Amino acid sequence: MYLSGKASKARLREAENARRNRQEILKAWSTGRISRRDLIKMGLFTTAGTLAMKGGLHPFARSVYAEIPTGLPPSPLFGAQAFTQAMPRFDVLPRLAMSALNPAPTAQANTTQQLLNTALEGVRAGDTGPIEGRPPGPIWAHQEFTRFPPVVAIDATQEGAKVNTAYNPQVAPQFNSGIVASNPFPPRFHPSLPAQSTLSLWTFNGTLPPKLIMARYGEPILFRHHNKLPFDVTQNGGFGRHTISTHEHNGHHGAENDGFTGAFFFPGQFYDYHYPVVLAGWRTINTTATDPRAGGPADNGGINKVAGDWHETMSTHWFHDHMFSFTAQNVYKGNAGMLNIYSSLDRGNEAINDGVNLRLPSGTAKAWGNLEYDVNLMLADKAWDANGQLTMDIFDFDGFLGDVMTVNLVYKPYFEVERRKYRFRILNASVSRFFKIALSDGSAMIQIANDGNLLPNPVSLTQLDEQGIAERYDIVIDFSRYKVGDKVWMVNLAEHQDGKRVANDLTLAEALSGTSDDPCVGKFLEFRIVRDPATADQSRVLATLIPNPVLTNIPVARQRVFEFNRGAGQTTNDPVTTFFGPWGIATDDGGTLAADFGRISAAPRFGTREIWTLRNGGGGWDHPIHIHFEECQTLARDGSAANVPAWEKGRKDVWRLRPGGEVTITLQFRDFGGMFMEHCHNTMHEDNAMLLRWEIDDNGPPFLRPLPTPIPKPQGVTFEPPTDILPTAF
Amino acid sequence: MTMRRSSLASVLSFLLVGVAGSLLWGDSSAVAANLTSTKTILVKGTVDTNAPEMIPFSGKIQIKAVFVPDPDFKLPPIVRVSMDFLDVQGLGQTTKTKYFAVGDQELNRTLRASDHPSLTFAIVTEADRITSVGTGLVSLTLTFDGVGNLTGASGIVGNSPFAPSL
Repeated sequence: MYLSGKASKARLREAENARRNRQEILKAWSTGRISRRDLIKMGLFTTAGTLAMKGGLHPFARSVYAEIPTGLPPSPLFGAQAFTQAMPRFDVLPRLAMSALNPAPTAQANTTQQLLNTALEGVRAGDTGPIEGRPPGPIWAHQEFTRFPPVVAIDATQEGAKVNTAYNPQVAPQFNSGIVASNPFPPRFHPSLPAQSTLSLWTFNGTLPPKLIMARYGEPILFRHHNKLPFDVTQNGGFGRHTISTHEHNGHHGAENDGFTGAFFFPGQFYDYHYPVVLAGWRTINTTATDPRAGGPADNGGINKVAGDWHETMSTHWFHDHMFSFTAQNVYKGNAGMLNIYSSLDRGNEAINDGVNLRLPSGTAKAWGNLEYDVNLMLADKAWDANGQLTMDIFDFDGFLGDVMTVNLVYKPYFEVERRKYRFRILNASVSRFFKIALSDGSAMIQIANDGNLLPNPVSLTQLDEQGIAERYDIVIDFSRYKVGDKVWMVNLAEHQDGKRVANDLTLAEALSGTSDDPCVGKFLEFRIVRDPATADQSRVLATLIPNPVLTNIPVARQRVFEFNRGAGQTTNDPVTTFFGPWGIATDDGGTLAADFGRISAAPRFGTREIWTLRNGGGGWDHPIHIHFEECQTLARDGSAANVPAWEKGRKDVWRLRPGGEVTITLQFRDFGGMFMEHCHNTMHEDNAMLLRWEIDDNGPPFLRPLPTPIPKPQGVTFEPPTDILPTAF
Repeated sequence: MTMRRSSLASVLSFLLVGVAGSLLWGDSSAVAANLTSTKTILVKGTVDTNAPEMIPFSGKIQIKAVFVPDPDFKLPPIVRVSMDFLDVQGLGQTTKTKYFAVGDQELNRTLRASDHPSLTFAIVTEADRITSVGTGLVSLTLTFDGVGNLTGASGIVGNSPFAPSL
């Protein structure tokens, strides 16, 4: 349970002392001065895989403090009150001409040498390394770079917190709760809280609010990501790793652009990610691009038709760090943004009535991508230290929980709305916390999409299903049922006692009663109904959105079983590619193995379809399992199609297995190749070490079967053979 | 004992003396067969607030409970409860419009002998099964035996006590 802010001064002081003592180890670990193996050898972990129960070190020790899921004292609020600050809309990253990028992007990694900073680990004076961190050579060259040449450039950095003087919400202040974008936007969670230091918060461009990329089908993007984090790995404010790898979740593109966990890059480097923004199946379906349902919005309100299967249209993505073993820390520290994909079906203009556009709530001023009534929400629980700086317990391998709710990286805000329909794209960007969302008046929301895929049929719900980490739920709320002056709140019903799973889904009355010990239960976002819309609401929610692709004519090439367990073994010991932790994955009834990105656990054949079963190996935890690359269809839960709820009948890329549960899915392997991942998106589980590599490597040159593993260093990326290939992989 | 040492070395040395840790993580148990039990109940009751008119509802809800023990951490077992509104409908007393109750839910609840979840549902019309025209409440009583069998279930439909600005 949580240590109450009303606990005795002595208990709070003990907890603070424990935090400081732990911080020494946390920092040493996060900066690589000691390894996890060192800690295990030192006996600092118990058989349960947690930090040893030592008074003065372990705040979970019942005799000392009671259990505190954050592993930390309660976050001080500095007098901040809930619902007293406006919720900022996302900050839209500029869409630049390709000529803005210097040097120009190249198909293969740009290996132009630069002098390296000696603060980087393993670098001596005079050493040089490539300016781009992407692995060199043809295997990691941008696939289909000529066929889908980038036409829009996104140029962003990763760096420490600073004031935002270029905030661009792409809406007028009346659609942003009065926030004037031209005013400097400080890096703080609430006006009463201190600004975050450059070592506490590492975000895209170093600023708040979180960033939004706006993409559309038929318009390939080159996302150049500069690493401007400190060269010195110890300059991390106690947690966070200065090497990064950026995953566009869940883009359908080559593995070189997927943010592979072992393809990380260093401070002083950039990495060019090529997002072709294509419909899956573009090689074989609608290849002449004649179907208007397969397309992107044109600037004149029309459609730019593209090849591929329109049933594979996606809408709401996000992007985040995927650094091997440090994803939780880096994402928590601010490495997370969202990406909206606009299509002929999901135009971002509710007025265009051409028989294709679904006319979902958005706006009308621009031909596409109107955001007035289309709102991204990033939910995340956080914690901060006595100085109000972001802090984290990276030792809680069961899962880290914050004790403060944020929306769009500010503390419990309000958002002004008009009496009409709004679309909300809700992302769970927490480390380990699940949410379950209701409105405080118990009224209905319409779920229209799951994991960024518009459902075959929308579903009316008075409470959403649990939402695991990385899941995206798009919903429509019709505020016309309220009066001007009314308020209604989003409420979290999912009560945690630790980071392993939800302990109890509360009823609305229970959640609103204020009796839960979980400080993140209850109201977290206030909607203020402030006015009638100036123009009529032209949006609608049709009974049919996007039917699923029909796969019955595609034979099933293989079936595989992945079981997500505790108690992993380690069969490899490469110092770069392996990581040992309490969590692991058993493939096809083999042993449960800890992560090794040099190990190939599965290698489906290019152009085939398989059925995968994802099994939770226990009842004491839940796992939101993510499979990269292509959206999948859920065939069954616990062995029966009848157990798949209506809101999971579309395509997905993250599945909560449910405690003791099992999910059966089907997926295709087509269009691109390379090495991808499958992992738990409770990122503490992922980092410790519930992650595996699978690859598509049989589509001919330049791919090799098996693929060599990249080993990044500041001086350049080298390659080594796989450390292991599971017997059922090929 | 309270520690306020600043150096990593002092912290580690303190711990090395005092802790005899294991090199192994705890193993997870084999997947236990989860006990599933299902009951279909008849619910009825009238909604006359938060609704376009007075609507007497009746129909069936299927309740499936999956008992999930936790042999690894010995945490209290939970019950995964699924609720399917099979055909709960009502006829508006004034307009004779046919209304449907939509309230499918998935819940993880701590196992207790008697659980009383009250859940709101959306009221929709036959013409538009998506757009809610009101909100009702179903108050359930679920009873379980010691091994998580759903032994009893009942429910009553009524008015939602929730309102905006509260």
